[in-house]
Amino acid sequence: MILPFQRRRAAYRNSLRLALVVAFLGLFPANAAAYIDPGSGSVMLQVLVGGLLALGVTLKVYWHRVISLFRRGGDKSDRLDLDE
Amino acid sequence: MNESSGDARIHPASFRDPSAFLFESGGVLYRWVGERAADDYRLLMDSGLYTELVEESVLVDHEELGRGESTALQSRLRDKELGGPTHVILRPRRLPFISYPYEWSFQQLKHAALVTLHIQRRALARDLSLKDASAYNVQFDGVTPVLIDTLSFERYVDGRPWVAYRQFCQHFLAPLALMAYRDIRWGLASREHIDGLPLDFVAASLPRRTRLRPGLVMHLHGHAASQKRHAAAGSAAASTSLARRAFSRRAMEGLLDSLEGAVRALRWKREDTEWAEYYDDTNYSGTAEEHKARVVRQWVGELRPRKLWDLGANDGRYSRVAKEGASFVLSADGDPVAVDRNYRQCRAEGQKGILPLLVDLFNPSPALGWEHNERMSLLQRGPADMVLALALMHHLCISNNVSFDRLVSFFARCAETLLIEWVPKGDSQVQRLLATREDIFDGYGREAFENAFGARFSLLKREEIPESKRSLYLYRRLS
Repeated sequence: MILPFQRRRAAYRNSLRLALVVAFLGLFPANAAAYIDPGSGSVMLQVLVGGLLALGVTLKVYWHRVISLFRRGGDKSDRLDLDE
Repeated sequence: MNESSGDARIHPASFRDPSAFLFESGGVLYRWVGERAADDYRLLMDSGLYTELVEESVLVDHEELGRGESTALQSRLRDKELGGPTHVILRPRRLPFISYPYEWSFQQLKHAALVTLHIQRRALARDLSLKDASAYNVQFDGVTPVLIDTLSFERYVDGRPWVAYRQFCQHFLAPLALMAYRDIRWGLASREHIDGLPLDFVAASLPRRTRLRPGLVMHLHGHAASQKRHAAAGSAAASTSLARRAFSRRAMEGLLDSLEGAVRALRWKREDTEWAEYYDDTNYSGTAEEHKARVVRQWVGELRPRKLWDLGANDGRYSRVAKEGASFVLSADGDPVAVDRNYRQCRAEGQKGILPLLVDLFNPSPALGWEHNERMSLLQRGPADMVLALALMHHLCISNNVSFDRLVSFFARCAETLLIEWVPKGDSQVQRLLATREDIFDGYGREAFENAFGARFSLLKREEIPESKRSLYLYRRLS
């Protein structure tokens, strides 16, 4: 059973996420008259979010270093695991 | 394979890259590599990436031809078809069946996506990068996804974004998201858009809640919006901006992490479809089922076909039995739940040489692409040596009104030998099909069945299935 306050909290969380997403999408004002040139749009998106993605990897690297202090055995994260 | 030049035929789907293409000669598949592609090819081989990927079973292996053999083959190709001087000719290991993304189950497409990202990661570590991320470059070696385009690699240039990013999103992420969030049948949309689903179309078709998923927001919604935004500006604006803001190697790693996270997070909430529970809901007793399996095992074992197509395979129960006597089994069914279950089970069991595939026999995959030659129809990918048609004919004849003559004509095109199960009208499954419709099938009887098949096939064996009204027939096509 979902209690009212849980629903309110979920709604608040969703609206926060929505606000972030809207802010992100706001970077791309629509141009309905444009013909589609997927190449440049795909390249621009990568350039735009590149810094954020790089920051994510940096944080991950440091996090793995911290984790490895407490864990024995090598890092197996680069192995291909299809059947999780 | 219908473009002829001397004895060698260039593969009709291999015309886009003038520096390397596939051709066939004497029934063997080759890949021509021109001098223009030599640097990238040598980098793949000399960097150790090729060996690493082949050892991981994610890249199809090949051998390089010697100078003598290579010269003889070149003389069979017209000069104008060669995009410059030859560097080397390769003989890739040939897979028994080429399948397409619109014939894969959700899990198969997901695995093909993950393998593509894994290969890009491995490539990056050795200063290479995939220049294509086409789903058609991945094939299934049984239930193992492998990259078949050895010439997809190029030297990695630091600061340059991933050129295959758009293709990856259109070929993999977009159909997977639609299948996961909308309906599994969206997978068939790839049949209409063979260069991947247009992202504006995908973004408009996905439910609003996908805008709360960071991976999908970035790679589908934001990507579609970016395409729209920069369409008018064109590539000039993009390149000017790129000159100012580079895309670091770490950003590329982040992009791959993000794409992998987005792909892994997509799950298909499986729903029970019509035939998924078929085996739990048949009129077969344990004895009948065991007897049927024994006969299939024995007859296939005697004929030892190289390629066997199990049509209407459901979850592949009899494909596994047939595999004991066949080198390769195409385990085809029209139900995505059954195909997905079959694929997962084959992987869990470590099965080799069984390919579960989504095939709707009422409307099998057509020939597609430029001049109808890029993607082959189901029958163009045949013939098989043997077809297994168990508990199938009543669906074709009664659900789809196919006459015995048409059935015979279809099977005669599929393979030389046929193991077919006769399902009479008195069978409870046939009665179920007839329950909601008028019985217009006066000609549906054993004698008519035997006469129709007898006209094109010779009967090798026949066996009644105990505790059922069904029978098994083994036929060989008359020459």
